[in-house]
Amino acid sequence: MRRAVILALVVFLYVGSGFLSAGALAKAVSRTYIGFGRTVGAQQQQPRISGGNGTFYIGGYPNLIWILDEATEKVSGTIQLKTGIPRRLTLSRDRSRFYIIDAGQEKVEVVDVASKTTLDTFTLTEGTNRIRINSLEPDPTHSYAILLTRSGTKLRDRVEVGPATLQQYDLKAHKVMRTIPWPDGEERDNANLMFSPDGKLLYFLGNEILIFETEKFTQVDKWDLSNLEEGLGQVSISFGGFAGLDNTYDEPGFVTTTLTVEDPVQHRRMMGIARINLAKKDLEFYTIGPSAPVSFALAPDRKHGYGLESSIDRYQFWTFDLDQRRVTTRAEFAGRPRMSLKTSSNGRLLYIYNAGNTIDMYDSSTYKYLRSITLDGDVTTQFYVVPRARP
Amino acid sequence: MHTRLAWIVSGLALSVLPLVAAPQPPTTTTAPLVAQPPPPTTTAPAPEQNRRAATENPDEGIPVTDPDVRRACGGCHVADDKNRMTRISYRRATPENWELTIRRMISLNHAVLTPEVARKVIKSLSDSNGLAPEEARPAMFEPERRLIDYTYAADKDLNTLCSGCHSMGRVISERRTKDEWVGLMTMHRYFYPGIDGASGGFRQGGPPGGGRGRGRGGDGRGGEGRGDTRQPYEKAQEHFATTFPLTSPEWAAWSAAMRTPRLAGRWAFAGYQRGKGPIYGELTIADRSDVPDGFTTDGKFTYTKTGETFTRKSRAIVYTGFQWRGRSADAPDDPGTWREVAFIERNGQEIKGRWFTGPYDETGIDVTLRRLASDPVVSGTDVMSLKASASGQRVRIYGANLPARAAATDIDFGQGVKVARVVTSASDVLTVDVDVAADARIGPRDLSVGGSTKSSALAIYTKIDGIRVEPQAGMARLGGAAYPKRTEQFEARAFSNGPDGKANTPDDIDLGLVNPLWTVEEYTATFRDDDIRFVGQLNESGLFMPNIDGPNPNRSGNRNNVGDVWVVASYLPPGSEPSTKPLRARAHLLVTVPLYLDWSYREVGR
Repeated sequence: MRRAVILALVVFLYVGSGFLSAGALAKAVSRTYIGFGRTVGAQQQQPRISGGNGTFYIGGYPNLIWILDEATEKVSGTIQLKTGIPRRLTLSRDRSRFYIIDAGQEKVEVVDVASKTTLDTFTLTEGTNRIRINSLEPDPTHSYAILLTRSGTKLRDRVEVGPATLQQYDLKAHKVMRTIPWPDGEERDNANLMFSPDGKLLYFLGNEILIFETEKFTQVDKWDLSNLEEGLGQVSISFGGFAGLDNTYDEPGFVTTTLTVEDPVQHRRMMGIARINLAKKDLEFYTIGPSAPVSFALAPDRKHGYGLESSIDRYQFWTFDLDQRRVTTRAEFAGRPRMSLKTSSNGRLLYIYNAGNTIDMYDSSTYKYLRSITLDGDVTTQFYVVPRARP
Repeated sequence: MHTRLAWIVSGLALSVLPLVAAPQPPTTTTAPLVAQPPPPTTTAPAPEQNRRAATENPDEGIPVTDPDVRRACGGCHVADDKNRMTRISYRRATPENWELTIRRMISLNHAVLTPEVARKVIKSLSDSNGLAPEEARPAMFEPERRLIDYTYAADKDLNTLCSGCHSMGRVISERRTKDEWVGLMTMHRYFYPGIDGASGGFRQGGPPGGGRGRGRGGDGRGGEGRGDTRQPYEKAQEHFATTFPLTSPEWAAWSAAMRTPRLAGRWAFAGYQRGKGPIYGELTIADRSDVPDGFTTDGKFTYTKTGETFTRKSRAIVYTGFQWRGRSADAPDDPGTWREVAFIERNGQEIKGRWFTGPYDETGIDVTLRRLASDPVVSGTDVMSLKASASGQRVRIYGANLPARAAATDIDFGQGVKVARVVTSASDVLTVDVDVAADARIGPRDLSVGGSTKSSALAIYTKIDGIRVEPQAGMARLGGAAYPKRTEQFEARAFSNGPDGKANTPDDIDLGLVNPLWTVEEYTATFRDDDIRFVGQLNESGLFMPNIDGPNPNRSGNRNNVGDVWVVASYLPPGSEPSTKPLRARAHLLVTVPLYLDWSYREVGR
């Protein structure tokens, strides 16, 4: 009651003095009264920045995939897995299924995203012949998958480990359709694989992109990216970060990523951006500055990219302007020793995850820490941010 | 408290579970288990494998004739017509490495052995397929559980490759044929999924067009030795086969000369415990009739710094004729709180090693035993240094068979040091007052009593020039909640710059323990380093007590209380002016997480 009397007196004096208009007075009174009645936090006075209306998928301990609504930042559901701790999560290109490799690398689980149910599980391990699956790429029709495997056989008094093998695996019949010979007969331990949108070609992504047709998996072409232009120097292109390639925001058939190049004269290492058109076997690239250990995440507008530099006590966000071909800002932030970066579905937030049970959110324009989502267990896989509509 | 203790005990028990908790059929010491059938899922060894192992070098391979080993291992390891068992005959190792293997056979390969049989197998294989003294000595830090900064200098790539997961000491405690080194590396690749990739570095990926990974083992395709296209694990097995082969002149000589050591009798004990100083005493070793190469000990010891006296009994087994492994046995139900690992010198007159205890074996005494007859033996003194130009400095001389009525003339510290008075004398300790002349030459001095001489028993100095902190690189582990704490004991030692007047040169003189003021400072590895607030406390004796394990909600990122700090000692020498700036020295302390899976060997001393 006393507050109301004081308020009336203040209003009378201000109106009498002519300092405030009637409209401004009304707003001032409103704010002041609210201020008297209850505390208003500074955050509530500023509009809450939302990351968009997409959906998060992230695998974690002990055996599930969390599904979160990006707008509310709440867990909207979980997918319980039958194969244990998920380690590698691959979202099919049509975004209808997840292919999950377990922590032991011996079991694969296929999950239907819409119904959140397990469609299938399989393993190639039989008895004492253990087959580990290092990576997996499903074909666009979900009829088969390309598996990178290595066998280990336990004999009576010893074990034997076989070579890394690339196999075409029939997802319906549950059998190996063929073993695909390594290009040039040279065994590889890792492979970033990608099908063309129509599924007719399979790309081995590396400094040298190898192109296979998918009828008999014979190599039909080869594209050496390590020597793009005479005088430029040796180029090295990075594909995939934590747990593989995620090109959710790329156009189908495109990959945008970073490259490093060491010029042949000064021997300086520079960093650049490459946008690779796999279908046309074309590449657009440019250098942007000295080389740094920066991981790259494309923004959904494809005009920007964000970088994460992480070395001992040097955690930086970077922003790349892909139209202007330059780094626009860099700033340190209080990160964590092991972390990975994702961009929100509207590009306004940056998500930091990995090695822990939180997803930390930062304003992509100011790099200011905003808030965190805390999950019920540690994250063990790749983190997908799936926009409601394709960008 | 009881809950915590239970967790600690459970953790320790789990570490030895494979042996002690194996299925227990009725056991006797004379009737071990019958031969174990092979695991049902395994297949018979391919004949060509046996042939390959046997024919690669027809002369290689150590016959295994012990019926206990043949029964326990023969289900999987087939013997040829020369009694050479697959795998086993092509390998030599320390008792600890044999124990690790047997535990792996039990836990992963379903071998069923009682603890009694397992111990017999370890003993037998350590004797028949062990290391020679010359081979074992460089690796003694491993069974002695010393925390040292060891680098395998012969190949730093291999050092990195192996020590990313375990001590290099485990590697250099092995001898194998080429096939066996290949088999060992293959076993690693079979059991550990990530070892081929960046987390293990066994392989380096592949050519372009599939993503090349660079592991920790160095690039097998370039850099040092450019042009070498072998994978890191392939280079490793080549190196090991050449450097640590099955057959060696040392083993040939020792295996022929090896015998049951004759150790029964009295031994003079000289020890040193970091932070607590010298320990002297006497130990009696007796034969143990019920265990081959078994012994018992009974000793009495004194910490010279505090005068504290303690007694201790133990039981021990000697492996390979020279490797002493024992445990304390002060009472019938003593679980063996203290362990003993020592090396019996070939002359049979001296035994050196480490006695240790603690959840991580972190508390230890460096031990030297010297065989006693009837002659006097000087073990050492309570002080490590005497100041020049000072009179009436008291020294206690510890030993055995010392003259009961010693005269000053019986005791000789060298020129410039005069024994002014024998205060007391007994057979195990003499107390004397000495005067040191102003012109006494500085440096280490031998001490002679009744014909027995202890070299470098103490040192003469004129001035304390500085102090040093030991260890230079300490480590503690968080604990107290789910896991036990690993403490770290620091000590400060004074030194004189020696005749050249310069610090950190070979003629520096160690003057012994001092009591400094201990503090902790931030080791600013990062700009916002705050480890000092969380890692734990250093007490006035230099003992660091780490903080509790587990996530700390009061720390950013919910981090554990891990970190690294400087441990700083400040010391004002006696007689200094109050305005004198104290001497300072520091050491690095890493405070890390508990050892969540402890695979240490603890059976060989039972």
